[in-house]
Amino acid sequence: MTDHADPVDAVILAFLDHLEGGAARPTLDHLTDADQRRARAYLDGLVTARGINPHASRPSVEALLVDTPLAGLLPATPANSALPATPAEPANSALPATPAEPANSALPATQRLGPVDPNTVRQVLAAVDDRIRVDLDPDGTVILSYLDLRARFVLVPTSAPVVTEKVRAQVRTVFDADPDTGRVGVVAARSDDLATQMLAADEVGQTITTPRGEPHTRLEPPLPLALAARRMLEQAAPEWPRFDFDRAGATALDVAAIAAEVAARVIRHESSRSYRGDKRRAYRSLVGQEHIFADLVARISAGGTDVDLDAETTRITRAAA
Amino acid sequence: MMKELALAGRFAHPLVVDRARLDKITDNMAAQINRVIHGRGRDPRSERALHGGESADDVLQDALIALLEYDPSKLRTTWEALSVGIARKKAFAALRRATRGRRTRSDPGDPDEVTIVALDASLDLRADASDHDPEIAFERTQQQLVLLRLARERLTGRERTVFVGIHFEGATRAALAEQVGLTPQGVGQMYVKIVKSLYAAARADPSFPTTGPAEGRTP
Repeated sequence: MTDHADPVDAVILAFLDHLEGGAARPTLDHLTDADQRRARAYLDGLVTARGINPHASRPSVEALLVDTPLAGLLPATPANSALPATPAEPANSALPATPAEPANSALPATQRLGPVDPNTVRQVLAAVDDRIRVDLDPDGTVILSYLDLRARFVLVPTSAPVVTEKVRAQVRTVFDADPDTGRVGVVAARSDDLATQMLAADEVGQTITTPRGEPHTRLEPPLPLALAARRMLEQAAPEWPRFDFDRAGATALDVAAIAAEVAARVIRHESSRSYRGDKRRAYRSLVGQEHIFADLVARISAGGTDVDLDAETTRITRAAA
Repeated sequence: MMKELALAGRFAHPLVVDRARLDKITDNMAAQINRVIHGRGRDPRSERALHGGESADDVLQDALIALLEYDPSKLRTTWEALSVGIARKKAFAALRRATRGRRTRSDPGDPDEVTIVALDASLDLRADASDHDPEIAFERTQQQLVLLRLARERLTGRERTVFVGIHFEGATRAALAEQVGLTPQGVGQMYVKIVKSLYAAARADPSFPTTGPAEGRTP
């Protein structure tokens, strides 16, 4: 039996009609027993699949068990870490779920230091912008300063800068310790591009849940460290291109041309609307007559003429209608 | 001493010993939880918020802990079937917490005028055969997870749009037709062809479960 003659195909298509709301559920009575079994498998599968999110990812088992009484249940996998005090990300996170960060506290401190340390962060940040100053704080954070903007960057031993409760607490501590800190960047030490989540103080405070059950803040998207720092700088200390007022003022404005352009735009917009009666006739007939308004504006801007703008406008529109 | 014994007992837990099985069960529990929370008519563009910002991953964490704390000596079914029961129970409990005490209609003139619809009111919770048999539910869900993996591995972007759109996201053929540049009939034909080829590939896949009742199996 070829696919073209397969009666199960028609059943699947009829079932799609049913699911889309346009038809009754197809019966299988006309099919042979074997075809009925095949059809049921397809249809049951379709029903089951409708509840599965094809884009969902879940935290690893280790991540799910972090900070629970079962945290030590699974054997730990050795791994490097820059900040051993910060735990791996648990299940509930404001960011997409990421692979687990294995426990590593059993490793000696010398082995826990990975290739990324605060000095690496300092070097990356220093290359972001000539205007900024980057320092390494004795507490291990990296300070980025520009005028009155101060941001601190902390390393977390994860592959993504997930804002877990522990990370929130750590960031809150940083804000509390230095009230001049405007932003804290959470840098994932195990990510290839030093993925960084920038946070403001209000984003790590106690969340106020709205009636819709959603957090009142939306975190910025995590970015590679250099981009995250650059984005923050562009928001906090934007650079404007030089503007020479003397030179810009020397060029006279062509008022008539601007008036013609504005008039054309307004008339085009208004004439396309569904007006009726005189208004419709007036706007339709004004199409292509924009120069009338441009001339009017030119006369007024030239000065020396006593023009009643209201009377002139009324005259033009009445003539058009 | 008692704590050490308990921990030792947990290390002997069959799911801890068999990590691949635990991962498979956890995948399945995640799917079961999402199915309860988001419903079958899930809008892929939105996610329902649970009470206090609780997420589906939080529910999964609860369910996984409950499963691993279950005394193996009291097990009267398979771990797979038990996991389905636990996952659904935890998900429904989370939904109940999310909708408890909420209004379905705002009062006119209420300064705090918000319209909140109870989550369970918008869910399609009609039962099918698998809802009553956790073993079948596990197997069918596992089959779909295998199909999803095969779809990611084998289909072209266009084919994946059609298959995932219809099969998992509930998109209509007319809606997909605009995306892929086919007629709705063409999309339907393409879906039928894809789903049959994926099932054929799945039957040769060792991770595709076929141990359930006859009607759940493909020949």
